[in-house]
Amino acid sequence: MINVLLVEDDPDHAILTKTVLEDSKVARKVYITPNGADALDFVYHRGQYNDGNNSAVPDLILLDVELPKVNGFEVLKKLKSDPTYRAIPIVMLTSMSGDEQISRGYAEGANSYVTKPTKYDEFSQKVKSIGLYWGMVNTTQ
Amino acid sequence: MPMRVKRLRIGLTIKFGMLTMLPIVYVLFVLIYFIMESNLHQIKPAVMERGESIIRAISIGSEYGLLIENKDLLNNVIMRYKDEKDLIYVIIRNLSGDIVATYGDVQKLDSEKDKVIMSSSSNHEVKQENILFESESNLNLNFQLTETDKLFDITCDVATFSKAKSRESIGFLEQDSMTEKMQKIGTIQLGLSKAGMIENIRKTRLRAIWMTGLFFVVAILITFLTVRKMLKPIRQLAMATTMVSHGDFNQSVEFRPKDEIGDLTESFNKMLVDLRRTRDKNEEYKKELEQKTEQLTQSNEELNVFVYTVSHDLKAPLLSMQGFSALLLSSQKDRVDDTGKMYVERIQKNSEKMAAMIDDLLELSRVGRIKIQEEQVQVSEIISELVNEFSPQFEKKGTRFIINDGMPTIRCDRTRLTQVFTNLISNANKFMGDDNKNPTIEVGYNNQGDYYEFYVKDNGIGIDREYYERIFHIFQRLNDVQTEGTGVGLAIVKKIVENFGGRIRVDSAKNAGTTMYFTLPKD
Repeated sequence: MINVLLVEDDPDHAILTKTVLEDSKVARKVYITPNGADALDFVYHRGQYNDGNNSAVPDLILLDVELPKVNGFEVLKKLKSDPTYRAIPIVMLTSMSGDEQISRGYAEGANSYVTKPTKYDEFSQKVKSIGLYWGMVNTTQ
Repeated sequence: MPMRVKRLRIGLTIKFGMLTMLPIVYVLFVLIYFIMESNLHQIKPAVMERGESIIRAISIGSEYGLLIENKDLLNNVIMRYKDEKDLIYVIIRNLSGDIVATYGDVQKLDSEKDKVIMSSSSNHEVKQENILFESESNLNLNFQLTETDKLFDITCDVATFSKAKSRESIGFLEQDSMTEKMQKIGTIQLGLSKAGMIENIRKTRLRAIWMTGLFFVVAILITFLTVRKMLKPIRQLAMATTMVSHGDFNQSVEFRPKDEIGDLTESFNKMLVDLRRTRDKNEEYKKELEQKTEQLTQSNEELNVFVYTVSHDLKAPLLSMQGFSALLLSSQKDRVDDTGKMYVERIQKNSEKMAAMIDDLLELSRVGRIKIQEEQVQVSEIISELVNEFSPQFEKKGTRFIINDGMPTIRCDRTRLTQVFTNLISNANKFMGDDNKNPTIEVGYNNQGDYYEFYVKDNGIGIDREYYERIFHIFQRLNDVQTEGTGVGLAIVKKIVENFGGRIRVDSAKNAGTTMYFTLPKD
């Protein structure tokens, strides 16, 4: 069971995703940040997340591409260029399915790139398998 | 500025000039002919006349001298004429042929004797003349003209009239008659040099020639200048026309003589005004067209982007709707009664429908957006693949599928073509009708010159003629049909086919099956 950081601005999607991850027992705890800036604060333990003791480093980051203020790709770049946090798997989520976005995602170092389907069962399948896969990968520690 | 014309051109000026010069040249030739012909032939009578008059004069003067054979007298007479122009010699002889008086260079005569060109006696006419002239004198002259290379030699007799009375007895009558007898008493011979005359002739000829030449040159000049002036408007017109043909429409010919050329010029100017106007109009239209096209392209682009963006943005809430509906039915199912469950299911159904519509819209917009990749596609291959994919649906309805032999290979985008067939076959299967005992779908083609016409035929419920247009519109479904599908399938097919440069049409009637035809260029 892993800790997941979900960066998602749509509150409904956030709830759904969290529900799937927790109900399927993939995730121990799902942290949610509504935008990119907060996501980075969370990872770096700064700003509102500056609580020193909080050793919750996410095992997996689910990163929505369409974010206010700081765009998903920015967060991706930031984290992947930081040696400390580079190892954390980042899965990009999006409603859009543009090829250019996908290639950009991989170019910037995303571990995976997933489109959010409209059908809920598809969606929950996807999320579950992402969680399982990356959770297993990372549970070598 | 006149344009340089490289090829050989004989301009109008030259042509007309030459035409005008023709009579002049003709006249000149005639003149020259006459000039050249004015040789000694024509001066001969003049010479003769001159010789005559001199000889006559000498004759008259020497009659008495000859009669009494007085050399001094004769010499005096001759001396009177010694300054006559061209006179080489004068020889007076007596009856026996002895020279009684001379003047001048007699040697010349002898040396010339062998060079006789012509010798003529012109007794008659001269005589006649002289008789008339000399009616008062006692002389009768007998001319002889000899022409040699260098001189004219004129000889004539000197004669005197002697009257004699004579009596004739005829029977017993006596008749007196006066008879006039001509009696030759000597000859006069004079030589006239040709040299001076020849020289004269030459001078005259020369003068005539260069005057003719001068006249000719002046005539040419005047003619050509005049012709040029006359043709000026034509030349202006020609120049202006050339300029126009090179694209310069700002021409206008001012010269407008009051003749047919003037009409031509006027028409030309008018035509040019029209041309300019048309050209300007065309420029305007072109600009407008460019603008409009750009606008259209932009609009289209924007539209595509809009559709794309909106579709994706619409999807997000759908997921939420679906998600929470599903959760209600799963993790919250204990809290929901049957009616509640039914309501939730309806919510789900509708959001699913909406999702499908959005997907279709996306599909439609993608047709315009995504690049087409052309390759050689075997149609039969595509169909076979589709048959596999559709087998569950075919089984469900018991549909029989027929594919004609020899389906061609065509150059097009594989994905798109697959999409076309997919949609058409899917539609065909969907609209079979529940009462159909033997649902059949047939796929085939016709060869039509530059095009292949493909068809998908079914024996389903058919489409009424009045709906032929509507079926291709987005989300237009026919009211009396209860089927799945949102209604963009045919719109997509139409768009794809038209993008390929083909056309789509439907042949159907209610309850009589449907055949969808579409053409693709062979390329």
